[in-house]
Amino acid sequence: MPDAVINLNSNTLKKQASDVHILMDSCLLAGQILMANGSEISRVEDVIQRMGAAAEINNLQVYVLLNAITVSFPEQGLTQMRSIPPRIQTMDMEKIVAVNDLTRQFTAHLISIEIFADKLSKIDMTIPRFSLKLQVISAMLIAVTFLIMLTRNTAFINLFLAAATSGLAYAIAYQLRNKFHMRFFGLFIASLCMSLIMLVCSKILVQPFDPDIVIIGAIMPFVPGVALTNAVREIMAGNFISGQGRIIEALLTAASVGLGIVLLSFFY
Amino acid sequence: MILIILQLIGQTILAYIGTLSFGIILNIPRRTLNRAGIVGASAWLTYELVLLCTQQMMDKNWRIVLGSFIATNVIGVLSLTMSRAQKVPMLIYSIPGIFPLVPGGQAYQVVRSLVTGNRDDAVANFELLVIIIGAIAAGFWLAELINRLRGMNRLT
Repeated sequence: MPDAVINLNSNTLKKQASDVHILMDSCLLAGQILMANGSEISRVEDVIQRMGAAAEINNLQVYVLLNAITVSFPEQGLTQMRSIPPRIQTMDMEKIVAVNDLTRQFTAHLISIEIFADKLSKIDMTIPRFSLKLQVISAMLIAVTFLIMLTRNTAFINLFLAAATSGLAYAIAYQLRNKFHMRFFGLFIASLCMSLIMLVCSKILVQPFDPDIVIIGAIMPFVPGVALTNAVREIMAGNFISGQGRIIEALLTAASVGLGIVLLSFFY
Repeated sequence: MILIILQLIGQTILAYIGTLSFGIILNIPRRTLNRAGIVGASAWLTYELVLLCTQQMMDKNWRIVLGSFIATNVIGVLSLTMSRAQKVPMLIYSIPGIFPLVPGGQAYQVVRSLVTGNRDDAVANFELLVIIIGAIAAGFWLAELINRLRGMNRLT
């Protein structure tokens, strides 16, 4: 008889616990997807708080860092941590939108926690990315448009070279980042290639070709301007540790690109 | 005069294309691409207009700072309006929209001057970089204040 009681109790406990565990898992997964794709910290905390409020978890605690998330349900006695390794950090805004839509449906009680967890775990596979060809073309467009906007120079040879070098460099950096998870080294190699092309061209071509102007346009897809701005906004919002991390990241990016360009620029 | 207007129109179109391309690299949803381009183009137009209007009044660096500040306000207000219209997070519009204004080229210039040994250039560029970034962050603050006065909260 006591056995049966214990069994019953443990069963109900398990049932309750599993729901809470699914919620905990989805909180962590949603936070992970948001952080890995470049969302700001206040958004991640807000999303997790809303999910907890919708599932009637009292007094939910959440602490988000640049590479780790801790969520705690004090009344259920449950705390879990999830780390976000640097190798999965991409900038994929459509995933942020997808998580946002799912969370909105969940907090409006339109879908249950099981469906929510299921859809959330499939986001990585179901969200389409623009093809590499289209990304290379847009890197070329960025180089050409910003070359004209920043320097007011419209010589055809400069525009053509900026487009060609920046497309090539984007493809190289993309492949190195996705295949070998070497983000900064990929940027370094890519900008080294740009510099090499400029070196060869400066020996062959004459005026109106100007390597400095071409480089200003060609590096535009790689410079960490947005990263720097986000870092400062993060610090001003009061998240000092993550803000510092983001600043270091942006400085490393600038250093990789700058070093790659400058190493060969002594020769022309 | 006509030349200036033509130049402004050309710059705006270029900024639209550039912002849209950056949106493709960031993989923002297809339905938001066009509006992200509009946000970036109007920000760049504001920036150019501020630079034109203050041509006789100020030093060049301070014109850039003031232009960034006002253009960032435009981005903050516009991107919240548009994100409300399409029910997407605000950063889908604000990150590509800010791209023409951010001093990425400045950051590269700092590293370049440091490596080539131009200490003075590096320091001057770094100061300008910090001030521009501060202006952009302050611009987002003011935009958030305006948004709250309009009765809109930032997070959807």
